[in-house]
Amino acid sequence: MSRPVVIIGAGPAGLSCAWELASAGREVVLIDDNGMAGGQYFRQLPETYQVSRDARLLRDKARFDELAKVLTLPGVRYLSSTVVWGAPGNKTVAYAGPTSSGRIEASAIVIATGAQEKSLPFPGWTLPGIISAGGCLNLAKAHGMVPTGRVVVAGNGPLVLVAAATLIAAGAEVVGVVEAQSDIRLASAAVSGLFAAPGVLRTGIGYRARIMAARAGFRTGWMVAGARGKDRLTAVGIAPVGADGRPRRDKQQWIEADALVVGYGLLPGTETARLFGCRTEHNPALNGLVPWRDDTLRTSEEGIYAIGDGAGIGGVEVALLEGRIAAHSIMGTRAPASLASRYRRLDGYRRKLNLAYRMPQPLLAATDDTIICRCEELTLGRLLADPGRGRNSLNAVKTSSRLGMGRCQGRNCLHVASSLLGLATDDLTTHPRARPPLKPLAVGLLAADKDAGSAMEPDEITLSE
Amino acid sequence: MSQPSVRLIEGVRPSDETVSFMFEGEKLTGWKGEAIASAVMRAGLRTLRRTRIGDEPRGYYCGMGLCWECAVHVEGQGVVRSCSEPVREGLVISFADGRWDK
Repeated sequence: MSRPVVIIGAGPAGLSCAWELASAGREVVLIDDNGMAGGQYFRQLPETYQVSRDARLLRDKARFDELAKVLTLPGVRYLSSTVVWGAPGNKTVAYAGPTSSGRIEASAIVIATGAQEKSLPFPGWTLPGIISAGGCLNLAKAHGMVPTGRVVVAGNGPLVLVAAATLIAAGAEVVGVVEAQSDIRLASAAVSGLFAAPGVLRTGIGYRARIMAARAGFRTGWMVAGARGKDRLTAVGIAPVGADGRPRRDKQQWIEADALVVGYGLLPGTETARLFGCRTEHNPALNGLVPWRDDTLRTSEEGIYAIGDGAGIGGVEVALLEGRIAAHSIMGTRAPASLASRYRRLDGYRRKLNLAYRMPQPLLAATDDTIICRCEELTLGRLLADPGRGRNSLNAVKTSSRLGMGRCQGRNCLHVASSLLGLATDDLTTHPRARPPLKPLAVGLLAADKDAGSAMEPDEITLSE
Repeated sequence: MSQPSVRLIEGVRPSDETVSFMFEGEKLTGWKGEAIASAVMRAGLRTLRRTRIGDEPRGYYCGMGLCWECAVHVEGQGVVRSCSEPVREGLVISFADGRWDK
């Protein structure tokens, strides 16, 4: 039997790649951490829910239904709620999930694990009532809910507009929208979008029109400075962004609010690529650390590809195209010329857009008593005093303080810790490595690993004697 | 209990079937298929866990399984992310990190 192509992640990129491969008769195993396919963009309500035709819900259901048909094609094996936790070599994927746990030797591996949100720690940011922009979109798309009461949306990037527009469409009371970037820089990106990606730009303008029509105050060049409340959020402090990337607290204003949606940008989620040994590089046009790729979307490792937001922030349209391009690369076939030219255009535009939203200085709003690591409850002051900091190594701080060692495995804090602590941001040799298991995993699932080799410890013989 | 922190979007119709479960000693009702976090927030509870060192309240945050702020303990099952775990009849749920002092 020939080895299958293993695709990690069933979002737009992974599903589109699976389509192209499966319709050409290739065997595909699609592994997804989520219970339902679709990734973040195509999040769906529980199957037990119904939606009326005129529901106030912005979603792309028809396109998802079409795309999800790939899961029923012969030759496609779909493992949901399943975690890829290890890379034991030779293009082998170690996975664990409720239906099965084991190893798969792949002919090619496609990493399509998507983005994660960039955190902006600020005083009070752990209060219930403060949710991320992605969390807000999922509240609507996956749960059919919006926050009650007065809602403020703040952040940096296109997701601010998307979240605000989604909330307004759904009938939430949005009382303020706060974007950190100045209007002047955003206007130039809009102009280039007119030529490169008119459809994408129209959507953006539509979102902004919706916000204006709702008379929610829209401010650019401002950021969140703090939040007030005891067991829940009651007020949001906002201030103009200073030249040093910090809020100008002398001009801070308080807005009474029941919910705050924060979205300070998206970062490619690279831990799976790093686990597989793929070389990474910093690319501001792709929003941060990304796996290195050639024109075929192959990484530095033979037979391993990276596509979608996890390889560089670009959104759903770019992800769908990259899925198809990678599939053609794997099969050794030529992608249609129209596909390649559309990709070139959108790829150019997303790079311009990412750079337009990029702040001249990284935004910083934490004070000494602000929690940085939510899981281990470490404040900025505690981390600044950590002895590991003297070694100019984030990894040293991690091992001495437990920064990033809780349930989220550093996904909330490690990417902002370097700039907050004044450590080298680009020197990856000083950063914590991606190690198995990548995510918390029930021991029972690992124990069910049907393909696990023997795990003798060197001293085991002496123990049994 | 205070006012619900979330409400249903107009035009979304959840399942007519409901299930009951316990959360931190309170009896709550959820719709079939609904996530634990959704049912708890609808009941007016914002705190999904309390931190083990500072005993601080934490709630729904990332909604996509990355942050684990919504972690809860389900009896017989262990710690799960309440943003994606559906409610089921008879579940007994408590704060994820327990009460070390009790």
